Amino acid sequence: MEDKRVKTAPSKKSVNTAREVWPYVKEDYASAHRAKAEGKPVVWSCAIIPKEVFWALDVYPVFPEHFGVISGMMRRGGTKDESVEKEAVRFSRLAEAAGFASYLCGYARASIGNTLTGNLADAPLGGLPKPDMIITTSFVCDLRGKWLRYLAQKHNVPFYILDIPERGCDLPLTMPGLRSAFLPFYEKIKRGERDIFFSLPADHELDYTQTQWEECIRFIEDVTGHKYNQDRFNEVMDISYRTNEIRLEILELRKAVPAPMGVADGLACMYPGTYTMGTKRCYEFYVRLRDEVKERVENGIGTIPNERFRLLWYGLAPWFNMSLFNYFEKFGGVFVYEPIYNLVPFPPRMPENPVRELAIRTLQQSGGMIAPTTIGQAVSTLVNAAREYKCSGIVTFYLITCRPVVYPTVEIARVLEEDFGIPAVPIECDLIDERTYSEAQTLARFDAFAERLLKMEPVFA
Amino acid sequence: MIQEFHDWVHNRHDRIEEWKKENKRKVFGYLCCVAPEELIHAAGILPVKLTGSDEPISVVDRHVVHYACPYVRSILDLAGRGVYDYLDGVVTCNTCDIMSRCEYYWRVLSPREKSTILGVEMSPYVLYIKHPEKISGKGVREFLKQEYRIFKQHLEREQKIIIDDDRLSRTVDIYNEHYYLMEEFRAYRKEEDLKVSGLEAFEVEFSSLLMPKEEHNRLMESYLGELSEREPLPDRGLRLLLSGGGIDQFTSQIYRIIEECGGQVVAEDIGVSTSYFCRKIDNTKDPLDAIVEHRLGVHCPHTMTEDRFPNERFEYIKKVLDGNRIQGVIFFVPLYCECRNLEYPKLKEDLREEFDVPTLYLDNDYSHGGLEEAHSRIEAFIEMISG
Amino acid sequence: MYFVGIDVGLYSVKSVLVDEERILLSRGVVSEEEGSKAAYRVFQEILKEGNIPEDEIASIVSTGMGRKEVAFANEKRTDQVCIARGAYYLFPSARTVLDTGAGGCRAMKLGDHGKLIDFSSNSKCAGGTGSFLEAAARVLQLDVEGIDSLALKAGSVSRVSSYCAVFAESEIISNIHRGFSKESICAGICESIAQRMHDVLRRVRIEKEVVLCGGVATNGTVVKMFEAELDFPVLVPKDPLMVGALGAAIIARDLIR
Repeated sequence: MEDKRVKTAPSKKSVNTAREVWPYVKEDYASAHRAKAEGKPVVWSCAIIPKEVFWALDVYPVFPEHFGVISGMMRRGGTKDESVEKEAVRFSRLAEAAGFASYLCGYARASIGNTLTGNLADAPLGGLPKPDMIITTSFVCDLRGKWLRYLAQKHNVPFYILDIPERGCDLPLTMPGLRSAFLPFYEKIKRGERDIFFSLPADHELDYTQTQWEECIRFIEDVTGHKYNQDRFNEVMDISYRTNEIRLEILELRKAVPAPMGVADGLACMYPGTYTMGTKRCYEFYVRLRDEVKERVENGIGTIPNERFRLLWYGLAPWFNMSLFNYFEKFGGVFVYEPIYNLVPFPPRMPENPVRELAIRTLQQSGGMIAPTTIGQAVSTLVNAAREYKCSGIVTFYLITCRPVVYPTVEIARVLEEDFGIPAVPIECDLIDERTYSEAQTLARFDAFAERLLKMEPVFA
Repeated sequence: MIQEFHDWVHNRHDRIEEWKKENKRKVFGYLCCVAPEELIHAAGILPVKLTGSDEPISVVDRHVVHYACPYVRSILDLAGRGVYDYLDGVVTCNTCDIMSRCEYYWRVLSPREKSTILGVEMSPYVLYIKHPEKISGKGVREFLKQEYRIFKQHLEREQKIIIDDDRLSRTVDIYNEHYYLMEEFRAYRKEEDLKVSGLEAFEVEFSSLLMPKEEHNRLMESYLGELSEREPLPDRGLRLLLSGGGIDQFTSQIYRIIEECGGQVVAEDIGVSTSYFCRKIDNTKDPLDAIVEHRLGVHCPHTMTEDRFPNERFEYIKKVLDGNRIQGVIFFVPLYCECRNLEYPKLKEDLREEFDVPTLYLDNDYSHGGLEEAHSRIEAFIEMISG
Repeated sequence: MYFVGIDVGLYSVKSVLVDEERILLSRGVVSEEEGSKAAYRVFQEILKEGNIPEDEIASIVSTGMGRKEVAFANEKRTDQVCIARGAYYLFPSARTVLDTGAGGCRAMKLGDHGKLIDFSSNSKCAGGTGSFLEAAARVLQLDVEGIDSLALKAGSVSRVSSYCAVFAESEIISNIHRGFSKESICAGICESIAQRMHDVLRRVRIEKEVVLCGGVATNGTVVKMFEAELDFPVLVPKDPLMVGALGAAIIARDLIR
């Protein structure tokens, strides 16, 4: 008899609200196609760009990155037949045939491959509706600029890139002389004594970022003929602000022992906040999630009943095989927290100048944990996270196809292990392209890691 | 003359240290061609381009992942091994994901204590400039100007001088002479009866990033004189454009390989020297503004524009092709260089459609093995074009 | 007048003799001798077999990895050029050619009159090459032909998803541990190779007809799966290993004309 065990599978979720996400996603794809059919302008954009401007200007945003995620999870026609390759693989192979390197981000290869088929709709959930414009940013990685520029060229639609200064090493930049103050603090960062997370942006960085946003608004106005309205924008910004406060509350609740909402749930629940922030629907989702997590904490309900060790996750997600986040459960291990996709505190609301406010927020993010552009910040973020979430081990995603995510991995593992006694184990592959993944190698590493952790005293207990 | 250029390229550490000792002056290294060399020069410091080497990697793995540009990894390894200890400062700019992280990597791999006031270094050992990714549009110049002001302040504190407009203008004149001479030089490469091989041209160009510009200018004048008298090369070879990155004294072997296979590089789109793509610095303007404008003119696959229908990379390559009668383009792209890889498929398509020029794509893994592998493919490419 | 092409490959030397009109003889040896000696031996053998005095050979072209070692060749040409020429000679309708041997996999695009206009190769990784097939055979304790014949009988395919040859090997091992049948595992190996071949071929934009040559072309299952990937049949020469040497011989003839 042949073993029919599935090699890659979705994760098992613990939190009920997390099960609402898949219908939420499906509804988004359906309504994007409805919007397109009704003649509403569709913009292809990216996860890291705040969406408020899109809602305020009444354009419908969709995301090649998320398209990558679903192609990494699904096979053609929705079949579960394992002898059919995942859609991400089919599209990636087409992109590679056109000359794109296999070391490029899987999201990029998937969406490029899909575009190259000439039939966008032959894809999971009917794919993305054809764009009327493409808006990307220089922020986070080099790739998203050039990738979306290529798509704009292929679809022959107007293109805008929102340039955000790439912040350097770590400390306050308000005064020119101060930016190198990083060095004296490095030892403290290593000891986890100082949070270097919020460095205030300098005036010229803020001015520049604000101009970039104003130009972005002007671009959308020009392309669509829609007019920017500050009151409408403030309404959206208000919802975003309130949503983020709820999300911060959830992050606070997630520190509880036993962990009420692990990484499997966390990565599932990132969708509304990452792609639909600023909508009422998104706000309500997080209110329900917060309420449920709160209840679980009050009743002492954990992801698994007896926690023997708690794990931190660094990196994006291997979407093609989310079951990895349940793997340690048989050893009594639980993935507790993932810094990625969890927003940082927003600056206070500035209704008289919301574009300035958005600029401040964008720059704070750019120094932040959601997408650490500097190695020191990434290390510091993970040190703080390990302490706050009482983790005794970390799994680092050697995301071989993402430069910004893979660069800090060595330093994170080294500093956590050498300075804090928190051991690290890597998993090496792409986020959606399962051809890069070796189950044998990964699980052998995980087993050895679990054995090691079971012998250790928890570090931050 | 060419021997002197060659010597600077291949004995750079010795030559620079010698110069430093003789002149009792400081030396700053920079990682990428957008670094404002002019400001460093105006501070009385010698700016030199940092490059890697073919020596085996030894210390960098402890801090930098394997999945990163092998060229930059090699540079950082040299830093970690103390080879670059003769530098008084290091400048890195945001010209790609790895470059913007080199500030951290350099500090960790080659830490240097500098005196502080209230815990703050007045002139840090490693300086980072947030060069914008977008080089045109509203606010860009003002932003970079402020970055340069901050950078200039660090230099001033390092040297305990004020860099005024006069100093800047003197530097601008020297750099403009350099750009003028290089333009004259490049005219020779357009000729049908080539007098200069690709490799020689590269060394002439590349040495200008290692030696004082004044010295290079002086040598260039006599070199150009020599050139006008020179006989054409016996074997012209197929005229090729080289587009790529991570090309230095080591990987410039690619020129030799191309020549061995019957080709000749007559033009480049490579990120080592500003003079390939920059016009002169406008000396009628405020000098800092002029330097900002000049550096925003640097052409690099990392940068983007405000164009709503962007096609600037192809437009630029077209300019490079102009008058050069190029028969093929070789892309020699560092492994993991996303910026260059992402633009390749469209450039390949456009070059084929508009000029019927074939292309060859090679990964530059910055190793002897990689160059060897390139050899057989270049040979096939050149055979293919020759028919 | 006679013309000779000599292809000095990784493990073997092949030679083809042609006259002004047709192919006369071909000969190949697997040899551990150094390339120059083996090449000379094969050359002498083919002369002897054809009963042709050496001075009637008008020109000799060498190709393959060891082409430069063939001191007695008049000219040397790269594999890409020779394979393209050989394939076009055999099949004038050929527009795309794929060659998969032990050393690698490469695709060639032909323009008007069979002129080579583009080519591509596999990345350094051994996935999709003959070497991978050999390594997989070792894991299964079979020979290369054994994989083909077992795969032919498979009722299902145990997919090998990894494109890295090392990972793929460990995937094959875990498929064995999972208890999948040897037949389906062999089919999975063949499918994986066929997919990698397709990937290399696509890099030059596929146009019909497609010619498949090189050692892997003798594996019937791979060919079948490759055709399934392409969704149309390919042309396979009678002796797929000789195409490079044949191309060299034709080029040798063209040199004199």
